[in-house]
Amino acid sequence: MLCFSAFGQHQDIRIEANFSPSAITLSRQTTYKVTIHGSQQSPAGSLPAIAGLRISGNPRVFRSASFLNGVPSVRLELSFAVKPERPGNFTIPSWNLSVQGTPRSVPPATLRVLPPNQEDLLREQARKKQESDLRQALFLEVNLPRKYLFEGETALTSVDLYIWERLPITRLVQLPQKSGDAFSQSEINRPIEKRASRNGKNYTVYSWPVALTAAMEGIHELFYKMTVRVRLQNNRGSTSGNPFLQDPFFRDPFFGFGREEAMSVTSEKLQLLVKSLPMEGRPQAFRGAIGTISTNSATDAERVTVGDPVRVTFTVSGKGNFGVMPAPEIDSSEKIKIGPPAFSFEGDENLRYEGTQRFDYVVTPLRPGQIEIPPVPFAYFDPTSEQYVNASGDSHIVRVDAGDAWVDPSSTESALAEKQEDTEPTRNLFQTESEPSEWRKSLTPEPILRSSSFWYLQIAPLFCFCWILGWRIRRSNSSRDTSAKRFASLRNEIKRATKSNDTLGFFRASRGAIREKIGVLAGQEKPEILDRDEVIFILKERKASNELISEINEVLETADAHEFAGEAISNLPLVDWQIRIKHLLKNIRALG
Amino acid sequence: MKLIRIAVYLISITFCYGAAGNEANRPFYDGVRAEAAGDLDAAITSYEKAVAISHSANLHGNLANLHYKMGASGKAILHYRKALLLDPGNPELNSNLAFTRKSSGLSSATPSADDFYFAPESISIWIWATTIAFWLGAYTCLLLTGSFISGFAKIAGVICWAVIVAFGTYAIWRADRNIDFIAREAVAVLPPKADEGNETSVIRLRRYAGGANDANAELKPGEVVRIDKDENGQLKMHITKDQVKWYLARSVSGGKKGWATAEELQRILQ
Repeated sequence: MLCFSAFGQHQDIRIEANFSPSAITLSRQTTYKVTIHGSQQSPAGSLPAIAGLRISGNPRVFRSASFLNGVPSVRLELSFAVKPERPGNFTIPSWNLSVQGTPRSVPPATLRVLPPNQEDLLREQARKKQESDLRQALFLEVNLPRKYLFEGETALTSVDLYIWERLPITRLVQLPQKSGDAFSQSEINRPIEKRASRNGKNYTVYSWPVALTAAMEGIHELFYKMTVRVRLQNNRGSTSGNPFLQDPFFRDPFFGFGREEAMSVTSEKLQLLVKSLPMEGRPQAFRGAIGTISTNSATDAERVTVGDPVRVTFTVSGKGNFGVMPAPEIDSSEKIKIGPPAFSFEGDENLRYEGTQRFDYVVTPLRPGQIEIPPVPFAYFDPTSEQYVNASGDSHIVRVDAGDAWVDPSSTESALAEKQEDTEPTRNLFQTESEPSEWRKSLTPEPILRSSSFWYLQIAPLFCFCWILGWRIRRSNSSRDTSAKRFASLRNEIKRATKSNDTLGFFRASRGAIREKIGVLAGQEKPEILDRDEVIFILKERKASNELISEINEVLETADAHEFAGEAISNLPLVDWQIRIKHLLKNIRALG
Repeated sequence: MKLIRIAVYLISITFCYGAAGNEANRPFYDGVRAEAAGDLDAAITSYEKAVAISHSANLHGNLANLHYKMGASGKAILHYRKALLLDPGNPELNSNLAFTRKSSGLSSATPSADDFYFAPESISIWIWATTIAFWLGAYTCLLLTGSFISGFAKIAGVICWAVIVAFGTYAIWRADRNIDFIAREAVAVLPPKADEGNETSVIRLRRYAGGANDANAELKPGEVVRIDKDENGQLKMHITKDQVKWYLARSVSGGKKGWATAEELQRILQ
């Protein structure tokens, strides 16, 4: 309350007075209410006496405060009980009241007192008034500048919500929602708040500016709808009951035991005509701009070097459909290259209805000399005069120098003929790349030799290599061991056969021992399959002496004779043969 | 656990690289827009912001083009060289560099084997090729040891293998040496004060590290020099009392030698 009081000190003070109800029958009682808005301090003053009315000298005092969309308001209400003594019209004239030490005037109020038999008439009047009050308490209005629009035209409209100041609105639940697909609109943002008076009632008006663009020709319906929340008193129509609850405190929707209810409000349904744009007199440069517009065209340089950009700025100012206005296009030529324009708008970015639209073109001269930049083609339709207007910009002359670093390809034909490496036209040099290509953290090429992962990777082939090598060595050793065992066995057999004078066994073992040695020499894993010719071939390949070859041949022949013919060719005793075989084996080993 | 660590490491590397690229995108596009609008100074500033974050061939190419248009041919050549390090085969960059060198009065560089076969960026190819040849040869030797192939064929095969591996090793060494050269290479650039309207300015190679001594030789903007190494293998430099960094440099041909400031000699890998 202190907070409200503090705010109330800065609020404008306004006083209202009325009878509630303002018409009664003689047997009824009414209330004379004086409402002071903007203050809660008790006023000082005396009510004038009116003949025929008995006015209570002890008014009820009721203070209240409220917030509406964050704005606080306070008021003080004085209620005087009034009892008429006779029928007729009674007026309490304007009288003075001192509020916060300042004299204020209380407006006059009139009471109509009817005879007791006219009760029904009063009830009917009360019902009509209630309906009228409800219609006038809260309504939505759409304000259009004209009764019709052109297709593509943008009009600045406003959607106004009128709230009667006595209506206890707590908040606006929903912003105005457009209903009408034939129109597009700008975004609805914060409203502008203002006060208005209409039909003797004071209103708080919330106004939303909207840029409305007609999208389809024909007659189309348009209306807006929104929802607000209202705080209503709880004790509906209970005139009898606990008199304590009849106190204004409990009847006040803000401080009493009121409830909140959503209330929907809809604007009048407008039937709006959308006209199509006339085909007659439509210029070629017209691309859909509609409004009351002026244009201007300028360059930022008059003398440049080949390749240096010149900025051409084309501005469109005024009121119009800037939100849907397409950019004018200028074509490139052999002498100039023109990029797509950059847009910028100065004005209300949401509405884009009134302001200045800039189109910036970057023109790159490709040849030296006097170059004419063509005018920016632009035409618009003026909805006021209903005519097309050609508003193309001016053409601009720019002097383009060849520059020190740039060579005019057309004038350097002879130079080009002299130097074949300059076949690339200079205008193709120094082109800007619009994409950054692959990003790299560093310029330095990092040799993978210095990365540990490379060396870790080498472990796999090294391991395989070592494994294969080991396997082969083990296999070779194993083969060699077998051969040595076999040779040892054969040597023992030779010794045994010599002792026991077993000629067949002796020569069989001797032949085996020679084959074994030759097999080791030739890397033959199965030496027992070598025949005599193969043994001789290996010995010749190993460049053995003829003497050795013939001796071995003799031993093998003797062994074959014993084996297959069963006869002894040599008369040498086996002991001498043993010495000879031993000597031969030593010589064979020497060949390795 | 080890696998998770490796995965986290790889992901973090990927994100770091991606993030750097993304950060540099904005100043790059700002530069393109400023250039299109004709504001070359703003474009250079934006591109240099992008260079401070990351590198790309087109970024250095655009920056080089702008420096050339602004009359700073030394810086233009420096950035063309940087761009070509990232995209060596780009014909436009090569044409622009050749044109800029020519217009700056520098002799056109004759491409040698070091610029192509043993170029710094080819080192990875050489390393992989040599490694593969080494292992293939080693396995072949191992498998053919016990075979019936004649000894001559075996010896010839081993010699061929050794020659291939030796050549690969030589190529790696040479490419690595070129990386070292690139790390020491610098382009002569006119300091900002001298850049203003003085097209005939040169960069002096002084006898000693300091401003007030005679020049041994002079360099044209854009000329490439190689900074000497000290006994520790680091770039030979000297920082004077006024905190100016000096490099001892010699021209690639070896004809010119002397000291110049780090501002005058801008390293390609910087």
